Amino acid sequence: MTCQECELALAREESSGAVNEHLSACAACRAQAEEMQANSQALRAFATDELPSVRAGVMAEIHAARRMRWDWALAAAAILVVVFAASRMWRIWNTPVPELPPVRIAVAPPEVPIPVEKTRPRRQAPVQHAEPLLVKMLTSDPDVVIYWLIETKEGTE
Amino acid sequence: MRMRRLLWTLIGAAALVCAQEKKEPQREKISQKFMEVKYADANRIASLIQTPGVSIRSDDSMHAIIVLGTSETVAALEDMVKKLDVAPPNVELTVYLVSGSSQGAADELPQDLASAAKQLHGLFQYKRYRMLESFVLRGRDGREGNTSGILPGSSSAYDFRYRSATVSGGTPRVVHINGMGLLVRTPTGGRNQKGEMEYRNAGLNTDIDVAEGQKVVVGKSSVNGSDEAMILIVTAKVVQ
Repeated sequence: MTCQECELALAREESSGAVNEHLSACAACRAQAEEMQANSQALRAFATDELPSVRAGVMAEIHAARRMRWDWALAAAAILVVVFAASRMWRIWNTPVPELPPVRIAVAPPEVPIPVEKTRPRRQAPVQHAEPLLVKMLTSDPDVVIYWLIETKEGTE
Repeated sequence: MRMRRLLWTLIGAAALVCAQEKKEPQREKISQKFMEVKYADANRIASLIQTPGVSIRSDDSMHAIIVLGTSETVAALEDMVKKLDVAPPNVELTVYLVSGSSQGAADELPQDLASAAKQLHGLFQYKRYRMLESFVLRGRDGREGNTSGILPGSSSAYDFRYRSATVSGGTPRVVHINGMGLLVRTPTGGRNQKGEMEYRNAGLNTDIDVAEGQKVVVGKSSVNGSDEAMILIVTAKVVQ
């Protein structure tokens, strides 16, 4: 096996008796095989590395840049609003208040206690009133209404 | 982080200031109005239209009400005063004093009472109805009225009165006569122990409602034990 054939076999990661026999005999090829193996191990190790510190650092820098931009915009908006509010307040305070007409206040008169007699009312006997009986008569003319009084008490002076 | 909280607080405070400025109500225009009261009692109207936030002064002897308030309220109160200050109606009562007798032939009644006489003849046995007296009483709505005199052709004195005559709305209008009474005093010719003349009293008392255009008859039989009837025929008219 020549050195070129051995190199190709190593690149294909073929391990055979002829390759091992050539490596034991050829120092150059043996050195190259060791180097390729070291590289392969290094690549495998690199592939499994999660790189946490690098990612976190990059993302923090991105957030910081964004936050800086928003903070400046917020500050500008706040300044504008505060200036606007201050100007309105200044206008309100400087507006002259119209004078109101005098208010008339009515004062309620003091309560005057009403004297109440505390004597018990005497129970009186029911008075028999000679109320006449008023009878409405039926008429054929709706424009004529006739009432007749019955049993009216009369007297002579 | 602290800076952001501070900024948001500032924005919130500014927004509150702007909102309060917008909420502040506009001051309404204050005006004063003199109102003349022609018919009604100015003090009574003033007490009726009392409104919070409005100054109302009145003087009945000057027939005046002065209102101080916002233009809108003053205008509304002016409308109320106009509606309340109306001329009270007058009530005109025409009263006929009629007697019913079982003797005689023909009635002695004016033509106006023909319809009433027809109904009376249909209801009672009296053969003759005669008008003794008639009078017209005119007064303000709700006021009392009275009249008195001597019945023509006799020595009897009469006294007619009512406590109040009030008009209620509707068509036709109705006059409510409260406490209506008629007293007829006829001398008997005798004297009492004190030497005073003796009288025989006859009367009737009642409340009646009389619609405009209606004749209301109020009667009583057996006056003073006789076979005669005492009858009042009342008509009412509302005059503005």
